[in-house]
Amino acid sequence: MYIDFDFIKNSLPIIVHKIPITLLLTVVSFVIALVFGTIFAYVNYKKVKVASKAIRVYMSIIRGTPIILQIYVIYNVTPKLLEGLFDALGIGVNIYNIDPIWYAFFALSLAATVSASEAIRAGLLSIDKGQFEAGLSVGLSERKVLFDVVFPQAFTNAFPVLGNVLVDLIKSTSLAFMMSVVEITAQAKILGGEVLRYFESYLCVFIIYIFLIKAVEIINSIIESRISTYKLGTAHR
Amino acid sequence: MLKVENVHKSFGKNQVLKGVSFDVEKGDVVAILGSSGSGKTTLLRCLEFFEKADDGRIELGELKTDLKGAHKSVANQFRQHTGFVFQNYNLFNNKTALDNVKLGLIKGHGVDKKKADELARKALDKVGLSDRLDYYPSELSGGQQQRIGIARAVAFEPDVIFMDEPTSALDPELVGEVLETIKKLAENGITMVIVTHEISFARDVATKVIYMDEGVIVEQGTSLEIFSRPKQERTRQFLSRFLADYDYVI
Repeated sequence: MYIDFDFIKNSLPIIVHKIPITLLLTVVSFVIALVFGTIFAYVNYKKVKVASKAIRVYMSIIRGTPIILQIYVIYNVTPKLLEGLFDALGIGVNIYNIDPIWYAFFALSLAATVSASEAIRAGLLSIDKGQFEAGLSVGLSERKVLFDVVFPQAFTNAFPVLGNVLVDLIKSTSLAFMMSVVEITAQAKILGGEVLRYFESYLCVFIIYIFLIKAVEIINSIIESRISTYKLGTAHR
Repeated sequence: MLKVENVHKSFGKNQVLKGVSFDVEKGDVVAILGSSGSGKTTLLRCLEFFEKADDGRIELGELKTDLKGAHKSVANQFRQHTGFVFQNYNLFNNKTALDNVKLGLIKGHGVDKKKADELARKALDKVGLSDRLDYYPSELSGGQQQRIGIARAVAFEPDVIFMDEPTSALDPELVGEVLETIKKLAENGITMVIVTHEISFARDVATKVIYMDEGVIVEQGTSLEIFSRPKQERTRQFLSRFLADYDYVI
C-alpha cells in the first residue's frame, strides 16, 4: 500500500489546529455533566420522591438510545419544534442562527451526565453512614457534613470512573460533526475527502487521539494519587 | 442535668425500647450494661437523634424536647452539647488526626481557626497522641483511632459524652489504652454515659450503673448497689456470668 507522507505532513498541522475545538467540547460538556451528575446522583441517593423518578426516566431514555439518534433528535427535530413554538408565541428569534456548538454541548453532556451521575452515586454509596453520624455528632449541619466529609470521599472513590467518562467524552466529540461542528475528526474527513486520502487523514486523527488521551490519563493518575493520599498513607515518614 | 423519660423505639414489629427513663447528674459516669440485643446501643442512638424514637422526652440543661418528630435544628442544638464516641471510631477518613478534631470546632461550633487548632492539639495531647497530629486514620491502629475519636468528642467540651461500646471493636491488647483514656476523663469530672461490655471497668469507673434487658431498665443504682447488692434476680444472673469470682453480698 502506498502512503502519502506529504499529505500527512501537510494535513497534520491543520487537524491539530482543531484540537482546541475538541477540548472545548470536552471540557464544557464534562463540567455540565459533573454539575448535573452530582445533583442527580444526590437526588437519587436521597431517594427524593418525584425528582428521583423523573431522573431515572431520563436516564433510561438516554442509556437506552444510541447517541447518534439523540443527536438527530436534538439537532434536527428540536429546532423545528422550537421554530413552531416561537412562531406561535410571536418571538422573533431565528432558531437557525444559533451556533451549532451549543447543540453539541447539549447532546454530548446529556449522555455524559448519565455516566457521571452513576459514578458519583456509586461514590456516595461507598461512604459509610458512620461518616455522616460522626459529622452530625460534632455539631455540623447536614449540609456541612455533606460538603466537608461525604462529597470529598465520594468523589475520590468515583474518580477513576469519572476519568473513564472523560475519556469517553473526548472520543464522543467526534460525533459533533453531525451537527456541523468541525473538530479534529471532522477536519480529517474534510481533508481526506478532498483528495480521497482517508487512510492518511485518519492516521493523523489516530495519532492525535492517542496522545490526547494518554495526556489525560497521566493527569488523572497524578490527581488520583494526590486526592487519595488519605487512603494510601503518606510517604513522608 | 440530663433527664431521659420514657423512651420507646420499635424497628418494625420488634420493640427494642419499651419505656426507658433515667437521670444523669453533672460529673456522673453512667455505665449501661446488658446482654446483646437489650437495646443499650439503640437507646444511646436515640439520645443523639441518630434514630428517631417513637416516644419519649429528653432534657439537657436548658434544652428539652420530645424525641419523636424532633426537628433537625433541635437535634443539632442538642448535639452541640453532647459528644459521641462510636463503636467503630468513625473518624473522618479524609482528614488527619488534627483536622478530625478541628472540623467540629470550626464548622460545628464556630470557634476561630487559631483557637480551634490550639484546642484540638490540647485534646489530642490529653489522649497521648501529640505525635500523630498529621496522620490519617488509615495509618493508625484501632486504639489510636478510638483515642482520637474520644479527643474529637471532648474537644468542644460537651455537657455529656455518649460512648457506644467504645472498646468492643478493638483487639484485646488495645482495649487497655482506650479504657485508660476514658478513666482519665472520669477522674477529670467529665460526665459520660457509656454502653459497655467491660464489666470490671464499669465497676471501677462508673458512679452509676444501669442494667438493661429486653428494652427496659431492670435495675439502676450506684456502682456499689448494683455490683454488691443487686436486688433483681436477672441482674444477679447477668453479673454472675461476668464476675464469677466476684464475692458479692446478697
